[in-house]
Amino acid sequence: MATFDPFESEFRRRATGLRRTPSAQAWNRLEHRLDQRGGLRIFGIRPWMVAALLLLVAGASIVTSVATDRNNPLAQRSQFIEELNTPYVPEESFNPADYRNELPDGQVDSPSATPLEYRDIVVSAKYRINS
Amino acid sequence: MNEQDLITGCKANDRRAQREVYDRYSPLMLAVARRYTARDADAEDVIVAAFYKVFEKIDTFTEMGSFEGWIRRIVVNEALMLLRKKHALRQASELSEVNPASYSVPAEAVQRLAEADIMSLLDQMPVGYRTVFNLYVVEGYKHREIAELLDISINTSKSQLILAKKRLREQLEKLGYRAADG
Repeated sequence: MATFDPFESEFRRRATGLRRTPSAQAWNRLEHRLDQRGGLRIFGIRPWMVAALLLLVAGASIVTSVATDRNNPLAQRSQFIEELNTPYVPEESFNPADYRNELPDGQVDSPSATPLEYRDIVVSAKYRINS
Repeated sequence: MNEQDLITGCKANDRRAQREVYDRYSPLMLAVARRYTARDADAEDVIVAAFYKVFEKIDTFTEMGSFEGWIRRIVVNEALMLLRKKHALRQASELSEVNPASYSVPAEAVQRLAEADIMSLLDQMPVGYRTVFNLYVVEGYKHREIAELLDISINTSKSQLILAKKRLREQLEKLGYRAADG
């Protein structure tokens, strides 16, 4: 607890007894501010609340339109980056044996199944299905 | 209207009650503000801002403590905000060696001082000294609270108080009062 010497106690007593009369303009200024505060309220809603709400709605609608519009470059770019970051994973359901069985009999292992322009290309061992 | 009626009226945004609260407390609060600001115009700015806050935040007044004390705290905070805005509280020094006894001031000297003399004594002090002196001696804040309010260390607050008292003693000696023996 604060302790006061006699000087401090006396100074405190004298200082707390001081009074000053404010000018008439001080109340007028205060009343003007109070009037402004009251006048700008409509059903308890202040203008800045309406402005903030409008900004939120506008922001949300812009984000939604960008996200749904596939032709928008912003949306495409994000899709593209996503693809770059995601490693390629082949479909698990793909089975080369089933694929071959579904081909017509004549096309399986038939030289005619491969287009002429690709016949001389040697496929690397790691990409061969039956290597 | 008694104080309770005034508070109820202010909560209902009744201008008549607001005016009465202002009339009742503004002379005291202007004197409080004036002790911090050293300029009459600044002190009036402080009370206009403070009473606006009083009427705006009246719903937060719990009615557990004193209404006058609540208004006074708002006025002091507004005065400190004004000083901060003017960067008046930046210069704060810390004493390495402190001997409070050597800065004691005779109490009887104050008893004979007029209101104008008290204000003049405070006005002649640097803002830092005056603010800490007011907060500690007149408002009764502790050094820990002053340190938090002014964003200074507790030792700086103590140093500022001692320097303020030293300055007061010098000024009183100039006015012909003999300082107490340290």
